[in-house]
Amino acid sequence: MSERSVSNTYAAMFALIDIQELWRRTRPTHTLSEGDKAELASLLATVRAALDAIEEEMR
Amino acid sequence: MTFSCGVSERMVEELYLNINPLQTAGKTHAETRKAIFSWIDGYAVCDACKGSLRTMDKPPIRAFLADVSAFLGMEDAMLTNGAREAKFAVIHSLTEPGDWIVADGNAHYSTLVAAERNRVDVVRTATAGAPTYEVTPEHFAEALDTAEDARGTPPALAIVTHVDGSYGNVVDAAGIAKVCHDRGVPVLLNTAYSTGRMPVSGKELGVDFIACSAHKSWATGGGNAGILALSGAYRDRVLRYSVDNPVKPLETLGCSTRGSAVVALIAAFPYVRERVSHWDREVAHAQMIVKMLEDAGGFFILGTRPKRHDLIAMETPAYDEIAKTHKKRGYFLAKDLKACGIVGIKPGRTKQFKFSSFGLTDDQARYLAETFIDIKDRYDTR
Repeated sequence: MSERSVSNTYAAMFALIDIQELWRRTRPTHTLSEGDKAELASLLATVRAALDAIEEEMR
Repeated sequence: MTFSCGVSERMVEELYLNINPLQTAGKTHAETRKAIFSWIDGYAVCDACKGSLRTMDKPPIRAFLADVSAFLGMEDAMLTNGAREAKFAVIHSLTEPGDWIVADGNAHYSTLVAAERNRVDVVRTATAGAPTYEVTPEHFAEALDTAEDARGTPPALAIVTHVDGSYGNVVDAAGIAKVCHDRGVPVLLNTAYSTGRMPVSGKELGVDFIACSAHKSWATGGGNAGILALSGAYRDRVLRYSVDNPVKPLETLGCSTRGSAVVALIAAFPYVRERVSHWDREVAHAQMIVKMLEDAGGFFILGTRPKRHDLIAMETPAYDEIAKTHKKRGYFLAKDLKACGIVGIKPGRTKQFKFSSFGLTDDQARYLAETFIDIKDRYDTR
């Protein structure tokens, strides 16, 4: 494992914090606009890509 | 989820509109939480220590202090653990035990405690009383002149609460500073509820010191942080250094907020600098909520009018009447609000309470007022 995996851990965490911000912005009903949904999809993709990269290095 | 220590995660800011005046303007931005996440370990800020927190370049604390001094219209600044520690430092620097200072009638308890710890008496001004509780320059003039006649010496300092935490009144700080300076008294402005939310210039207001609470009004978390900004005239008296440890400022015992909170403050600063330019929107929200509630009947606003701050104190006889017969007594209100996704008022209070509309969107501000009214009407129609 390398620094890259550590860096990807931060990338995943930071994207999750951005998702947390989305919940904060839309409280208390969490009704998401189309823009919000696109942002959420992009952030989830970032988290997945970071985790995939860690998993790949582990193999 | 509960951690092994028994503490659970806190999802208040994600699930609810939190209207607790202590917390609305200390809510962090995503970038700030990322910074806290990275710098959370003990003494992490000291990786590249040069002997003193205030001279640190990584993270850029030295540059931040210069920027924040300019932002506040002052000539220097130091980090503290909060506004109360900033007030303590100034009182400690300017007084001797047995001296006296003057403070407004709406002063926060921490002003009084800071003076008490310094063995300094506090003379408090009158206020206009109910319902405005206004403090004016005339109140300060009267307190200063009466107390000086009785004590034979002028006060060593005036501490002025810019915006009080009970009614959200914004005082005429420039007028009060003039009254104090005309009598040779330096002025500390306690801005725990103002700087970081609204534009404040020490130069324009003519004050000598500004005490700030970062965790209350500068969107800063990860611990406690404050700022003491000061005019150049008092730099040597307040920002003085240890004889034996000459890089260590005495009043902060060398280094103050030496953890993730200072990184959070630096990370929050661009966001704070931008948000104060939208203060008129915050005031408009508060005024809209006040109007909707008063038009609905059963709500009476305490404090000065027109409303000029997001902290709103209300007398609510409508709710108090409901509490008399409700099976949950006064607790019905907090419970009903929570069911509508709103938290932050003290459970059990129905006669009078305060809340803050800071940081709400237009829709959220309207939803808050409508919910207050809906709860009242729900029981009125039974």
